[in-house]
Amino acid sequence: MSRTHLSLVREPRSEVAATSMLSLKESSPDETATTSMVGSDFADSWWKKICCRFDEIDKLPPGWDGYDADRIAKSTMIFSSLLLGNVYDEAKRLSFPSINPMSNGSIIIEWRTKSHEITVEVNNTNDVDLLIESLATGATSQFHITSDFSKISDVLEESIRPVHAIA
Amino acid sequence: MKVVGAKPDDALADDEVVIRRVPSLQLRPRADGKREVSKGSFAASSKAHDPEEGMSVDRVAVLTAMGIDPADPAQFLPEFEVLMKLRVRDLHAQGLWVVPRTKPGPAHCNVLGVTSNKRKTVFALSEFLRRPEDVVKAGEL
Repeated sequence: MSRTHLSLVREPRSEVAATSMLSLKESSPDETATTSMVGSDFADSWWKKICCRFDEIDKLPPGWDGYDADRIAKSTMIFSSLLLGNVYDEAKRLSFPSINPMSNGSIIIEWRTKSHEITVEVNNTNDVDLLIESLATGATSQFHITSDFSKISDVLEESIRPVHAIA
Repeated sequence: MKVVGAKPDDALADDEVVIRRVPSLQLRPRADGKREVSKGSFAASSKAHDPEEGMSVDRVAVLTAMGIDPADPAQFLPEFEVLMKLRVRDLHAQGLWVVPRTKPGPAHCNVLGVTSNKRKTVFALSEFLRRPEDVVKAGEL
């Protein structure tokens, strides 16, 4: 169910995250470390880190970037959370992504794997830019996404596969 | 995003240097204990604030004239432990023009044309002006 159009079906966990985000306490440094985890509590831990991160971002005051950035819109954070819910099956097999606010009001979500640098910029609801860079060739591809996150799932899945040397 | 064309008349001289403040919140913790700066720290302002959609930077020459030494660890703390340095010559060589825009402050400038495609270029051109020992650029060991 995770590769469906968001406007039609949402993963239950995504909704939980969206409704519970912005209410969790701040995370400890250990909780925000970038690690790839396994185990039965993994999903809860992964989502707690997501919620803690969005909670931090939600608390940013106007001008948080040292210039004149606005606060990040809640709709952008919620849509980011829904997006992460839709790619969770692939994302859980990678290191925890970097999730950052940007001066233009977007949320940037980044994965760096052995084969790809994957950048997702959530500008607002149904307005997402996906940038994929192959680390082997430097080739880049860019896509605009509204509610179908299958392209993100696909590239995350591809980046999980072992890298084989070309003779 | 404004499409950048010919060099504006008010573009800074090539030998100038500008800095970009990096909020400590944008430093990504890594498993090895280090924190890293990523290209997400090099974004233009929103159109609502800046019709030009430039990326805000500070002109070092003006800061210095104001008696502010950005390399001084006491400046810009605690929110901005990291300051990244950009040479105007390098930006101009990429067609990213740096123009003075003295609001909200006299040292403020815009870098024009910092689209999502160009963000990585700007990131690659940037160097640390100051950083704590545990901070590196994304992709570095």
